[in-house]
Amino acid sequence: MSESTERPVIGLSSATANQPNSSDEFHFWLAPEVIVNPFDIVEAEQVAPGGEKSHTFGIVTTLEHSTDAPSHLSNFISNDFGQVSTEPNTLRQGTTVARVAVLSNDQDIYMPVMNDRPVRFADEKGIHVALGIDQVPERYRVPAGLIAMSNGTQAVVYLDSRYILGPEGAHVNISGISGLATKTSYAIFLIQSILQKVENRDRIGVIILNVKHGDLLSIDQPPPRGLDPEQHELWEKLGLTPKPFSNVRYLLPYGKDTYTTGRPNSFRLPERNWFTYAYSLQDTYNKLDLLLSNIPDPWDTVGALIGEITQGLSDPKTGQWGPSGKWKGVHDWQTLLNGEPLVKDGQAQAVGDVRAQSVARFRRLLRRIVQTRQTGIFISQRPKHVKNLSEEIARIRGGETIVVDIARLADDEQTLVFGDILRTIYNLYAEEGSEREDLPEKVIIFVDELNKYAPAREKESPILEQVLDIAERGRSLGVVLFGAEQFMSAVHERVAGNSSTLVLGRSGSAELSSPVYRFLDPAIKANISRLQKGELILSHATFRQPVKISFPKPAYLQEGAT
Amino acid sequence: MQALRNLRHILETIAQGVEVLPAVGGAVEDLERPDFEEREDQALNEEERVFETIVERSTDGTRPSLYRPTPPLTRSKRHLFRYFLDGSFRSYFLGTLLEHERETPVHFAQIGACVLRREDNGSVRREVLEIRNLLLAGRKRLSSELWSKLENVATMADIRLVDLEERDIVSGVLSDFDLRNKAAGKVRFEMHNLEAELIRRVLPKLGLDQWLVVDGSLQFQPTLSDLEQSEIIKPVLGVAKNFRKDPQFVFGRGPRAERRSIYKLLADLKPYHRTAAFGARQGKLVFWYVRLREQTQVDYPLMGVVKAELVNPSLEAVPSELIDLLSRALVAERSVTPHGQDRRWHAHLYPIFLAERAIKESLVSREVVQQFLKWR
Repeated sequence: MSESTERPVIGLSSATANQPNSSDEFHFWLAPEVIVNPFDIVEAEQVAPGGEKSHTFGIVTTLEHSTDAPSHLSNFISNDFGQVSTEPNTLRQGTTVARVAVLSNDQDIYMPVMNDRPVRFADEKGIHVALGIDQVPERYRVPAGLIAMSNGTQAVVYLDSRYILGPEGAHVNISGISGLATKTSYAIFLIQSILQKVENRDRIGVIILNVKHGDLLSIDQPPPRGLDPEQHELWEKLGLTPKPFSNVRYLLPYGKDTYTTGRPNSFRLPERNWFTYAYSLQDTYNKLDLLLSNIPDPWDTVGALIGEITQGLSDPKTGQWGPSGKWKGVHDWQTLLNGEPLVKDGQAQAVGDVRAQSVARFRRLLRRIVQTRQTGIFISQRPKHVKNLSEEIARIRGGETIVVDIARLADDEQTLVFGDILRTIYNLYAEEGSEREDLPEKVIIFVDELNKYAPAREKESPILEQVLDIAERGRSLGVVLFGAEQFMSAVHERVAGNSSTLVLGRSGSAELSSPVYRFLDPAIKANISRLQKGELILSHATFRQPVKISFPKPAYLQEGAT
Repeated sequence: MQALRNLRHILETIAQGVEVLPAVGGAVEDLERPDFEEREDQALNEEERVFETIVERSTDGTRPSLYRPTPPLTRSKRHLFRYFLDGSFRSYFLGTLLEHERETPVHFAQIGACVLRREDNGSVRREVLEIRNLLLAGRKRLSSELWSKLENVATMADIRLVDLEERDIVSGVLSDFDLRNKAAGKVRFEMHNLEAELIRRVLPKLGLDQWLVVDGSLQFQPTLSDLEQSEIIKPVLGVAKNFRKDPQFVFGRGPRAERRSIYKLLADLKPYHRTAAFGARQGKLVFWYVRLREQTQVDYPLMGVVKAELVNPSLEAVPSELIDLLSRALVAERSVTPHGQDRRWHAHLYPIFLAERAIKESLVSREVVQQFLKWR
């Protein structure tokens, strides 16, 4: 690394009796006037066989300033016994010491950095060595953001696609407080980066759930006034083209007034290529467990009744919709709730082993969800132009992005839609993936507020099971979950634990004290509480330490930007 | 470290010829006696106890008063003191050599002197730092054969062999016949010699606003004679934290003359004031006291006072304005202090303290010396 000699030395490594250097960390004092910040990546000279030099790279975690004053009292006395305007003749000896977490060594030497070794800011090449990016073949590199260091050096951070889309690892989890508009933007940016850079990108399908407002309902349209030149530059620096998504299909929910107005129940309408979806009983009879996921069911009575209903409404020969026998009269929500076999003469009836009392409770619950409090998504019969969501999802093709809007749905309805998507995709890949050539090789599913579907400390529920199935087995199937939530501590630990990439936005210190953040150095935690808009901490399976990145603004039309 | 390696060979050489009573576990650090500076001051001026000559004059011709206010003159107003010199040492008792009926202690010492330069912004950097290694033993207590053998190996190893019995002005302070007690004085003497060498080296860089502050007295030879070389006062100020407590001062003449002990003189010295300047050594040396700190801020009224010295080659009265100026600049040095790090903090000047630190940091650590210097 001959260029290292041209870069200025910013300090010398320092090992003391109380603060020794180790294979995992080293310290250095800073030359006066040098400015270093947490997350800067530095390199220190290290020994190598044959008297050669190697370079140990590390990330600055903490900066401490100390002086030779043994106590604060000494400083008080030094200022002429507390005279605040005293001007000292000689500056008190003090130095700023940076603590550095070791990332890597360019010759795999993990000896502790010796005392008094020159330390420099790493250059872009050095940053890549530090993060192990140089070991990732070009074709697997996914630009994930930009590291900007205190000395002005910038470096593109690449993720290894094998650890996002499989087979080595998969999934991305993004957390951070809301209001900074960072989580969704980053997820969409990363998806765009994947779609622009990964090999076989036209064999990747993307499903995005729009959970808030209409932000994601115009991702195929450019911003009306284009992007700022700086944002343009940032995109280009990352090797990406700032452009909206292409080949997007929008699926919007049927609402109560859709029948009269033709307008779906969405905050805004995409410009083109949108369809409405709704759930008739025929579309839902085998997903009732997802619909009733949020209902406490300690004795599994609801589960047992759902089993009875699903079985009763299925054709025993084909396994498809086909009510027969005592279920023959059931053809929509109304007949299920008010007709036989659940009800006779206005009285709930026992069904199979399920007692009449439990059937009555089930009716109350289901009626509330699909009739009294529903947003209009549950309809008696689907008109021809209204789509069946799972059929639409199952038709996904490589290179295509499907946005499913659930922003205006009630909680139970959102759970049903999300669960329906997961189950459809999972079944598609688990059961017939290898046989269908028109299926994309990988499917990325992005959902915000993941904690709603896979909350921490949840015992068991059909939707949680579905999410865990994807989190734990999706990697081998090619199903990748991009999840986002405010608090990572609120998400089931097996979901975050199975994500090879964790992205953290600004979070409060109370949140950061949760055990799920124990992988972070305390100094890094302190910095997370100070992150600015557009800044994130990225922890990737191949990085030894999390890094701080920034990323460009989205290149598609966002709500409010019209 | 090379010096210690060489020294180890020397010890082996010695051990071959004589019986050795080694210090337990190897080298033992000699601790400096408290207030050695004060005893040195006393010894160097044994014959002078009463000071009555005021050796200053004001340009307006007024009679100098016993006390004068000297409000602080900080660096930002006029940066007078630029260089600061201190010396330090670490000495180790290695053991006792027995050659027939004769015996002598053997000591190893590292002496050092450092000059720091203060920049315009108040930061300091090292101007010059010198460290030397000494081996000390009583020459007459050993056979001349062994001594010359020692001299040869020491010269080759770049270590100076010093005769503990050789008379000098400093080690004479401790007239104890136990050579081991004398070693500390001898090492100090060698350290003063090194300081004198550094003063000589820095002298060409000094000027009107480029003063050198020397830790301790300027009475040591050859420093005194070096500073007397020309008629004008050299910009070198000696500042002592500790000084003798036995002199008497006479102020005024005739029956109204006022006689004060140093205790009385300093007890009445107000903060940021100085005393009148008195002459010593027939006026060659001008000295006065400056109070840097409020008496209420220190444990004892005599604390927080420094003794300042100036070599006065012309023997004529020194302008009061110059003494005021130097005193005011000295008062400004009270901040920062090495409080908590040195028991003499109240009178210690921080740049001098830093020079001392720079030397100590450059000396080989006790642990290393103790491990290296064992009789094998």
